[in-house]
Amino acid sequence: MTVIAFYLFAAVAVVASLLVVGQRNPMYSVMLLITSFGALAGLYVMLDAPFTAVTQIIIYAGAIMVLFLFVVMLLNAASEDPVSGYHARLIGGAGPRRLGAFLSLGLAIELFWALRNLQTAPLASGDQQPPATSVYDIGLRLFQNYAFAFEATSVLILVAMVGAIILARRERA
Amino acid sequence: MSWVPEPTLNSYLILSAVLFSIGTAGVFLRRNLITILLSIEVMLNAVNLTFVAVDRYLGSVDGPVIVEGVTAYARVTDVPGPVEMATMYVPPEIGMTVVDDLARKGVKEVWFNPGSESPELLARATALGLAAIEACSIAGIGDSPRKY
Repeated sequence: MTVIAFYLFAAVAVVASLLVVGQRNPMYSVMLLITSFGALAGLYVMLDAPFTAVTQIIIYAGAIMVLFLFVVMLLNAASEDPVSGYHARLIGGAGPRRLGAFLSLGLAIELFWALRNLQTAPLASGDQQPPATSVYDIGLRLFQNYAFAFEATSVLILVAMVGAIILARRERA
Repeated sequence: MSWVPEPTLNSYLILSAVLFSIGTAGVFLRRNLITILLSIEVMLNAVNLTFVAVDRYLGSVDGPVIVEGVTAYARVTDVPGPVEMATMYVPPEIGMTVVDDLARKGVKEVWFNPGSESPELLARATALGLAAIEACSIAGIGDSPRKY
């Protein structure tokens, strides 16, 4: 049962992700990404992380992807819309693209070479904690053990927000 | 289903690597800014999957396990909620390694069953503020050890 579920979810995630990259219509890409997120949420449930799975659905598939859909619709970018100007020279040229394809292929080969003879030997039991599965556990860990990382993330998000506002603000003529 | 291997940590890592590679290829090969953003999301999710899988893997070594229908914890500090009393069935050398955890957990009394006590261990338990009781805990609940 778990075996079937794993391969099913994995196949859905991989195929949907491939289509996200392969689609020419950003609208379909967003929809397929939601499918991929759903499959990953299933995998999280199998890994005893139900909270992560639910968060994945609510935050990612529910909120962030809807935001993406709005952006796609508002920008009216219904089809392949090559970027122009500076960015076009940066990422659009034939040379950088060929280099990019080469680099991503290299990364894929490197990853598989690294994973090829990885042993799944049980790790030495040191001071690891049991996995945080309940909301209570996750809350405790977040505000006790990882309070600094949590606060640092919130500052990071604040910086991103300020940056987005500055970038989006129109220049006064 | 013997013709396909059970999913292990490696399966999850390989799946994560596949998704990450797909995302990288998308970032490099697509020219549409929105699709590039979506590819970055694919990469982020691949990393998320790695985190969750490794967390599960690390936890499975030391986390609570079910033994004959009873939840067993690797150490007393892992037990959720307060613990009123502990009963020792391990040699005193092992007892020395757990008595500090018992005090940290706020256990009030510790029963040392015959064979599990030693002068040092009793002294250590008393020094930590634990009420040390040298008795058989099965007899202590009014039952006979013969029945077990």
